[in-house]
Amino acid sequence: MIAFPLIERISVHRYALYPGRDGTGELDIDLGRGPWLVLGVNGLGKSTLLLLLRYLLAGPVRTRSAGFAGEREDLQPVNNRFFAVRVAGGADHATGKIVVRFGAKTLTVERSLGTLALHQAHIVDATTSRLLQTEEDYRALITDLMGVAQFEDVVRVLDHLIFYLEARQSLIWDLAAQFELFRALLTPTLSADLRRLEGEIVSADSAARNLNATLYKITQRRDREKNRRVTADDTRARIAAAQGELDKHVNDELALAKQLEAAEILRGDCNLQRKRGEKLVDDAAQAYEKIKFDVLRQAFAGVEPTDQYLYLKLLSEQICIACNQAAPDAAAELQKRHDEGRCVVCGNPRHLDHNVDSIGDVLAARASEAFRLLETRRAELEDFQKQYVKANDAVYALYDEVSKIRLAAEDKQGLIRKLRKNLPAEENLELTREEERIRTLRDEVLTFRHERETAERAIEDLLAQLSVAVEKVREKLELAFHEQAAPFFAESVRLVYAPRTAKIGQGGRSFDFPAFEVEMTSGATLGQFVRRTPDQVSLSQREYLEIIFRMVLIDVLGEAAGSLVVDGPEGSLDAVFAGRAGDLFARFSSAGQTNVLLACNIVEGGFIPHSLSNYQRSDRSDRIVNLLEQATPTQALKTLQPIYLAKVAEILDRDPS
Amino acid sequence: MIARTFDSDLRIRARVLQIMAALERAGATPISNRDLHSVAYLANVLSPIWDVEPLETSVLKDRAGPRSSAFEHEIDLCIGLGLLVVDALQPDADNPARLDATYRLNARAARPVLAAITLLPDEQSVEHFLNELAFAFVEIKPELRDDAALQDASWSNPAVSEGRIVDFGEHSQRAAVNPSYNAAQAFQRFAPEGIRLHRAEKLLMYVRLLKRRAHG
Repeated sequence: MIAFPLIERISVHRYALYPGRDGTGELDIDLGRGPWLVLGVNGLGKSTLLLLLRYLLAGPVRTRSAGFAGEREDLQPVNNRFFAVRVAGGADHATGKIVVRFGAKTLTVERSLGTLALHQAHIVDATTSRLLQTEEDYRALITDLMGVAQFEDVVRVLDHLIFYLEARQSLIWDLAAQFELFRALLTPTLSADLRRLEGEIVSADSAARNLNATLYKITQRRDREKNRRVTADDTRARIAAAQGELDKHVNDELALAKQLEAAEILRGDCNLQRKRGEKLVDDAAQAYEKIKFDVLRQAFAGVEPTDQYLYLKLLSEQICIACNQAAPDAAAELQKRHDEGRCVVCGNPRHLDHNVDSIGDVLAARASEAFRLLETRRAELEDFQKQYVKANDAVYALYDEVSKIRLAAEDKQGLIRKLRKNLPAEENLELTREEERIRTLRDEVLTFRHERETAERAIEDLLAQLSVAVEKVREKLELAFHEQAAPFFAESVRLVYAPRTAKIGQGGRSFDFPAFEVEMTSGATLGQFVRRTPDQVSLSQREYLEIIFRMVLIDVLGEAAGSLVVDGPEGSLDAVFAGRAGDLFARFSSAGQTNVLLACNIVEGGFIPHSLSNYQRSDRSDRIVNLLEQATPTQALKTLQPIYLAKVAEILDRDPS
Repeated sequence: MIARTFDSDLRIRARVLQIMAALERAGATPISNRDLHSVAYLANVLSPIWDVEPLETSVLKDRAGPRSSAFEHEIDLCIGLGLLVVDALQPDADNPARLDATYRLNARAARPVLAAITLLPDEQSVEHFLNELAFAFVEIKPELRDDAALQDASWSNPAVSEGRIVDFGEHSQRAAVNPSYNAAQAFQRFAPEGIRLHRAEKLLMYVRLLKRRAHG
């Protein structure tokens, strides 16, 4: 059972950056339901306070960057004097304490701010209480409290989910980070095995590649040496030339494989766009046919449904489905007959009042609008179709190129074998000895490959279990994301489950890894457009997609309990979106057992009023950690403090517009 | 004015007629447009059971269920050629913004075409497959037939989100792992020892599974 930390209290003792309101060196903050705003000006220590929370919980470590790695440690030490160097005196006597709740259990952690060493950790629930004093015991405890299997996963959860700090660690754009997080949270019992096998695959693959490189060098050296010692004859020269070409083919094939991967992704996107285009055309055609049907129902009185259908197709799509040809003239003629109140089938005059619904202005406008939409959709589809054909052709062209290169490489290998047979017997003997050494190395390469394949077979089953676990929550995550994102973004945004295919080592097999990506409408492109990299969206979109994804994960995987800590949430927003962002945090904090801690500048606009919209004016100041009053003032603040304080009071007094 | 026609595809048109003929034999006609698309979809995903080439190998996962533009176009052309008859044309009960047509085979016009198709050896196998599928499909209550496709293993695969492509062999390198086919094959595991299930039995059992899921 996964439980995310819900931060309840923070205390900082004798740390010179935060002397407290009365200068006693005590900063105490009790956090209930949020959002909580840490307010201050640049240099007052807003970001430092949030970092302090992170380091109190995790200690002086971080995890390596997300991605497949060999057998090296995931946990890496960080500078444990991080907080000490920020104040005079090295923070030797400064301590920090954080109280967090995991379900029914309350954990208190106290560390030195001089070295980040653990002073003590205390865990309490309804019946038991336990004191811990070693880092090792503490790590085991918090791992157990969070419900994950290893401390590395605790740090991952903190850095990729709970804390969204100045470094802007990515999750929604980093598919490797998503995999590691899902692995930790959804299959905790498999997490260590998955990581171990990943390490084995990467190490075996890397060893095989390194040996191959050595093998290549030895082969080259041997060939050069032989060519130097023996007078080069035509055969040797031809072998060397063929070997050079063979090497080039191998390199070209590797480069093409990468191009092919990218081309296949593009083709997939184009195909999706094409299918959606077809659906839109179909919808538009159906809508237009329906309007036509309404208009012409009376005109078709007495006509068989099949014939009605034929006429409808002719009138609405201007296509004759009897001969599958465009028939605009016939359609125009039918339309004319109808408009003139004549029988649409034979053209004879008929009594309008009995047989024909005259097409009212409203219906005419609807028909015209529906037809315009149909034309637009058709034009779009044609465009999508062209893009797909182009992308598909590109893939096949690359396949062709790969095939040609493989054939050429096989030719060269055959030629080399043939030419070597033509060398004198003595030279062949020497060559055989060289080949023997080379063969030994090749056997080593094969052994490593075999190790990699064994690990690959083992990891396949574990990855399948992880995929199933993610697929079970997929729909909930997609829906929850939609609920949070819809009121915030002007664009239509969707979170979509899209497993990525990747190799763990550079060689070897590909696997599917669970991952989500974002689709968003854009003024510049037609329809929903998949965004795979952060540079495909604006800065504020990038940040808020990350924040909303984290909210949704806390909500769905943590059963709506946990804290979200965000540094600088107001920085990238304009006047309109500042209010929407405030509403987003207010909404998140009012549901379940969640709270949000936001460090932000004293900004005009709607961000602060909207964030605190759940509270009456009189209660708003209780939700503020005002560093103007509790932190060591900067030089600028010494003179400007009254103005800033007045501004804070004014902003808190303002109702959301 | 943009008036475009699709290229006609005789392979798909032949399959439209074969499906309609099978449904006619099973007593499932007239059939609504949506149900016809459901059967066509099931015929595609289940075709590996019979070693039959599917008409299409992917479809957009849409809330309304599987629908193929190419198949729809060939239905239209079959109507235009007099091979299919529109039995009724009315506003769709589920979506008043759309029209719903129901079709039946125009036996007199279609018979020679179907006879010619059946002369081809591989198409005889297709006919057997579609007959089995139609007779299994007809067991599902008429009002739940369009739901049956939504219960299909490939369609309801949780790894595919709505608005994405259900790929059962188009670009997927693993066409052999089409979940519908795999589910049908899995029935063998539950058969008594020594009993080898015929492909028709697997198909029937699979469609009955869809029926049970659709009937709730």
